[in-house]
Amino acid sequence: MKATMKWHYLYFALAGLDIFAVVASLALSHRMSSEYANVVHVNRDWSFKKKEVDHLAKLAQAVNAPGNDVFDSKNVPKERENSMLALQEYEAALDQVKKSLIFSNNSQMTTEFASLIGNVDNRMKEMIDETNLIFKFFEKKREDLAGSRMATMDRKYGLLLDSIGSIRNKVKEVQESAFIEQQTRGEKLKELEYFVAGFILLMVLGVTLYGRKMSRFVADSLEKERIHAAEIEAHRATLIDSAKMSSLGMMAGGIAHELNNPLSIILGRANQAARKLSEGRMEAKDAVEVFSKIEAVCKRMSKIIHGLRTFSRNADQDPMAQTSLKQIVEETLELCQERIRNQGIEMRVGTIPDYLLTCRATQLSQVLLNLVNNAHDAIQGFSVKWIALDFQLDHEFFSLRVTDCGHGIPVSVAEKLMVPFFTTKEVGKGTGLGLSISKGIMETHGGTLSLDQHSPNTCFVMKIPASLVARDENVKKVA
Amino acid sequence: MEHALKDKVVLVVDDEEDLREILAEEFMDLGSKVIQASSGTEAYAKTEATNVDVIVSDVRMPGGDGVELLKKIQARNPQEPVVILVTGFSDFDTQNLVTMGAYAVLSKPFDPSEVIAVAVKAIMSKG
Repeated sequence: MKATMKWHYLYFALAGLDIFAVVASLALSHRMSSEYANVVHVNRDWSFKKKEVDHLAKLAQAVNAPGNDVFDSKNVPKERENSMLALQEYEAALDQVKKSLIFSNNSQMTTEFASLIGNVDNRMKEMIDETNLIFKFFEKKREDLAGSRMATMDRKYGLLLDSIGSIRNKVKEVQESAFIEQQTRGEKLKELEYFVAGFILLMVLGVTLYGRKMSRFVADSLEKERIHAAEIEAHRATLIDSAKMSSLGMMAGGIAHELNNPLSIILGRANQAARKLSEGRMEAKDAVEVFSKIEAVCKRMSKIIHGLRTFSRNADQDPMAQTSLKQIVEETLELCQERIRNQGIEMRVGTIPDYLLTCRATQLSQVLLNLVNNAHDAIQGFSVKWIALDFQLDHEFFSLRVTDCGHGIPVSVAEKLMVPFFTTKEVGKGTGLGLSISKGIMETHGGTLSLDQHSPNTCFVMKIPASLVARDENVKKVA
Repeated sequence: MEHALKDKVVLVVDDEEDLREILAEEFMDLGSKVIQASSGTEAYAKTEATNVDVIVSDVRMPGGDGVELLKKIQARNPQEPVVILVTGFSDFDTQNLVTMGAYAVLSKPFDPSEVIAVAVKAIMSKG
């Protein structure tokens, strides 16, 4: 019982481990795929921002261009307009860059980007101021002064490009640091992966060990069951034996009497013959008569002893053999004859048919003796007592019916008759095994043992298949 | 000298005819008058009709056993006839049967001369 409880807990522990390992590996796989998606998303996001900054640099060039172009076209209003348009486009792009980079007021990164963008703003103003100065000099027809500012404007433009480049570098830096951060997280997930793999290994190991233990446990159980079945079989054999000995015990007195009577006859006859012969009072023919009487008595004794010997041996392993029905019935009745006669019971046995039964004769004899003994016990109170044996062969079964003068058995008792240990006899008189064992014996012959409920008297029927019955040809020939 | 059993009436009771015959022959050889019965009931009826000196009876018999016969005889007259029981196998022990009034209890198989000797002793004891 204790061992079972331990197994029970181990089973739940293993199941828990299995669920944990599966959930952990699912969670890990989910974390990894979302991490991957995140990496892709962040990278794409920062690449896009980098492009926006590159685009801003190109627009800055477009803002710077009219300040140079005016030296060729000399058309100030047109170049001023070009500059204004380019600046509008630049402003819009800058707004977009601001939105992209300044997305949280609190972060340090946002502050840095805001300051870098502020620089760009200032540089652009300084460049625009120079461009507007050049346009003014052109309007005042002072091309020489305008030419002197051109280098300054280009220097301011260089500074503007530098400040836009700083933003671009910062974006690149942030992108790289995000990448490194993700790489670190990936490394951590990898460690977690080892951990989960360890759990899965542990789970497989546990299941394997448990399976091995279980298979041993099952093998042990099967072995125990086999031993148990063998014990039951041995016990059943002992029961059959003890039931047989019990019916023998019931008859022991009768058998002793049955043997002592003929012994007395032999002793008496021999004594008398010896005396008469020595006194010369007996003739040879009288002596022969005495001896033949003694011989007959000896045969009677030998029949009883043969019956006893056959009955008492263990017939469990006997092969089925052809035996004369007559021999089985006569030898069985010989064993209980004294008891029957002593109780004033009339034994009604008609002509026993000359059949050969393929059977274990000792076992059929045991069943018949059991039925006759039961009948003997059941009819004690009757004034006219009889037990009858009838034989019947049809195309299906050979039946031997044991009927007594009783008036049948109540249904409530009849139902339990064949149940082991059920008895209506007084304590100590019956084991309650006789009928159940007899039933088992008939079943091993492919037959049945039943109570004939339709008979007006108490009647038990032993049946064996008709295929086990043959006519005794020897007897026929002799007849 | 005359044998103690001469002219005595002996009732031999046994369901086995051969045994009755053997005992009857023994007693008749000594000059006794022998009556036979095959059961206790039959034997008791015969003691009512005839004066019997000695009964030699089997114990187990169909139709009234030897113990029943002994009880009935004792109830009628504990003095006579004397009852000698011969048992092949009995549920009663010998001492019990003697207490109940049997003169002696012999066991089968028996030697007829042994039965005669006990019967003689029984007749002598009566005087």
